[in-house]
Amino acid sequence: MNNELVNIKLNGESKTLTGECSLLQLLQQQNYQGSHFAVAVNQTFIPRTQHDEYIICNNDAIDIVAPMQGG
Amino acid sequence: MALMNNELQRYSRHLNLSEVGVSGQQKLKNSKILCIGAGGLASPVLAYLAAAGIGVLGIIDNDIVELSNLQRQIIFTESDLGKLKVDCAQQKLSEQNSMLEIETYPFRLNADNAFAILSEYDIIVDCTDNFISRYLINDVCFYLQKPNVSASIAQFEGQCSVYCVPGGPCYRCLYDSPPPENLVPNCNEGGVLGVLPGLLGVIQATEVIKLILNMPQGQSLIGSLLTVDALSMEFKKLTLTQRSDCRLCAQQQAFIDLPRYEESCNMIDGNKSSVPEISVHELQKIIDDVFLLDVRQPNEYAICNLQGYLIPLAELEQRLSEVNIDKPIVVYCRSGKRSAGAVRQLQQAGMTNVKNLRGGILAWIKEIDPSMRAY
Repeated sequence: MNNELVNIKLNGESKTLTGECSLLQLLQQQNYQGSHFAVAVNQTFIPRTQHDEYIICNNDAIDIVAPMQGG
Repeated sequence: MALMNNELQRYSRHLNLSEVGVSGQQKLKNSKILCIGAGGLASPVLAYLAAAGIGVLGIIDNDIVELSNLQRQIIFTESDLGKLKVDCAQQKLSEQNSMLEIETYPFRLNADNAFAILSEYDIIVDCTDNFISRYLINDVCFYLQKPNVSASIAQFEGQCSVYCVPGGPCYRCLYDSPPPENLVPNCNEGGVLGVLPGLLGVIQATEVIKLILNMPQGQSLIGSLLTVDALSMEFKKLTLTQRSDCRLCAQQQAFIDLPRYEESCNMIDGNKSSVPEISVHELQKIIDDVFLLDVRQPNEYAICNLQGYLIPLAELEQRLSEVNIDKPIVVYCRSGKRSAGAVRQLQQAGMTNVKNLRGGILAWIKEIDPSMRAY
């Protein structure tokens, strides 16, 4: 069991995770459901199909962006 | 086409830049740019592209200038109120630069006319205000291999990228399909800081000019999404690559159906809504016997209301239990668009006696009670 603390930035805000956590798990914990948003880790978008396999690392910066329609 | 003497003078500050020079200025003059939408983003896009010496500018928009536009759509003035936006833009831009050729299209871009219009231009600038147009533009640009310089805004935030450059990502690589209707507010509903489209539109114009000048990819927004937060003044560049499972890019040969307005009629056009409706006169007769539901924002409610029960549309799904199903339900918003979406949600939740107030509270104010404050 891995209980190491993982410090991340989620949408610019500091957050600490306990133990191993995939990107998908984090999104679910944060109530991001459905498919109408995109997620970048360290300034690079991660395709939805890889959210499950991506394990969040210490100091990761995670940005969740949602589409806007205004013009 | 070579530059004339007065053009050498006019564009001298460009000519002094080694990245532009005479050859770059000629490229600007020989280019044809299509701006779709003539609102907040388009205002700086059009003004700066006209100033920069673009040869041909196309403008598509079916709207007229309204008073609430003037807070951010800076190419229009009070004397333009009630006139077609494309006509007003054409007049302003030709005064600004008489060398500029302007084509206007005073109608809405749709799946039937998009190919013919877009194929006439080198670069497409997406300044629209709805998802159907955004996906339509993306898909047609992908098939025609035309760069799509796209920006969008909401409240204090904006996004900009260049999609559909061959080999680069498209809009669907980022967001594969439009979100469910009414999930994301537009500028009418959510509000927008007036300068925000100015910020993003200037970035779009910059990207257009760089594309024409063939500046290296690493210096452009091809393969990057720029996010702008005007409150924190944070600008982020997020790397976006073409997705191997993108429903558009991955199936290059297969033609997917182009997005059509009819499929999401009440998101775009309340008149085409197929939900049951009630007129303001009918409502007036039975108003004491119905559960009147207001799905606008609290700040809108504060301006004027019909004493309806307030549940903002975005919260409706979580607050369905508050809707009184013992009475017939009538839903209203400002114009009848959001409330049509709410009627659908309530129907999906099993409520059958639900009607949309046609024309919203604006129709009520006009027909029943002109003493109320309209907005």
